[in-house]
Amino acid sequence: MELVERYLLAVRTWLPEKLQEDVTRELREDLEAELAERATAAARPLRAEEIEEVLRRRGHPLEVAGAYLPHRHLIGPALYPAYRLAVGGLVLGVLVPVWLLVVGPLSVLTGASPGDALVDGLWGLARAAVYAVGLVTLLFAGLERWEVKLPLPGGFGPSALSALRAVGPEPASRATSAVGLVVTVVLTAIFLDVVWSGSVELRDVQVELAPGWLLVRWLVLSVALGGVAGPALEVAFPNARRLHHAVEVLSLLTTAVLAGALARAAAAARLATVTGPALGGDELEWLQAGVDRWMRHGLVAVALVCAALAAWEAWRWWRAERGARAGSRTAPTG
Amino acid sequence: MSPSKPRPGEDAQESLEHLRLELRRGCLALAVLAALRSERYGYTLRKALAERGLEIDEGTLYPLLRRLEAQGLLASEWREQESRAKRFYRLSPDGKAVLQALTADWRRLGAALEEIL
Repeated sequence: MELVERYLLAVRTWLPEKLQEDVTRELREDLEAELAERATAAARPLRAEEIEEVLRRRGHPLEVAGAYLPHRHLIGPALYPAYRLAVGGLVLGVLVPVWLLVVGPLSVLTGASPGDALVDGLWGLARAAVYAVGLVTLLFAGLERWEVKLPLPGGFGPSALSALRAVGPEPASRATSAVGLVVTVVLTAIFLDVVWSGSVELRDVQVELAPGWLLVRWLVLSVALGGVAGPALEVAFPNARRLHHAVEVLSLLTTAVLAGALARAAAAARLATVTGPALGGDELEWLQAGVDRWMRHGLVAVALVCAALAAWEAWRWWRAERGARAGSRTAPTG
Repeated sequence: MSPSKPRPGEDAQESLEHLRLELRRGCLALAVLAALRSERYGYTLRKALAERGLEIDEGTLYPLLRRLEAQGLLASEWREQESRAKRFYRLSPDGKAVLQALTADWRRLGAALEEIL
């Protein structure tokens, strides 16, 4: 019976203290009953390998102990969709765009070596993503542990659900629009902060915007607000597709025109000056050249991308209108 | 190295096993409650169910008994029998009411499934 005792001890190890005595007592009783019955049937004491076979059939001690524990999830199915959205929104919607649009270019432009700066920046992005995912996971695990229910406003009303897109089977999701809105607001806030303060500081390097920026800052603010208006309208009025398309096209076109105008200005005069008391003259010159290049080519790229996006949005609008007209012609009347 | 893709037959076999488990899960609680109309200890309960064609391993039975007891559907007590301490289980008054309701549900569901099958 030494094998049985060793097995029971192994099961006991995996159990919480308050269950240990009770569960092992019951398992012992069951095992002894089975072994006694087998011995009676064989008309002899069981051999060690026969006892071993009985124990093997019962399963690994960890598995046996696990069956007595409550079936808990770190994040259960009720919270998991929200958790996925939060993690995805934070990493893909905030961290990656902020890195790609702000931190990455600035690190490369202001670092001593672009390669090292890129590696450092990527490593920083990876760390930030791990911390962000860890924090969100801890938060949701806490909600799961204390059985907090998500505050779903006013219960469930089918008529309040997002409308289907006029074309295509994919429904417009208010949650996705909300993530888009948050991302746009965060990026706009960072951009406006830079324009308003007139400088960006990164390590030992300071990038001072030219005074000309102050003249256009209200124009920049208007364009930025236009950029926020699209996602905000999508969240607030998911059915107002026509208005949403119009605002998006207008906002993108205005951004393209503004970026184009700034690119022209950058070709004529310096839009930002790099300073850094700790840096040598050559390094400063090299950085200044990088910033100038980015101002000229980056702004042209922004203008082109915005113009392309405006065209794409206009095409989607036209397609939606055509789909809606076709739908109204074929809709049942009964 | 990516894991090898299961063959269609393997997928179907896996699905069958999964569905069988799902099908049994709900039935076991009802069978255990019904078998405990008269008092039994774990090992004899397992034997009684097996004799009626419902094999249930101890790793499933004892945690299930514990859950049903925690829900107030079963009562248990340790007693000496044949010079060994055994834990005897029986239906509680709540358990009797639940068994009655579940039996009615089972018969309705069974009749409906028979019609469908």
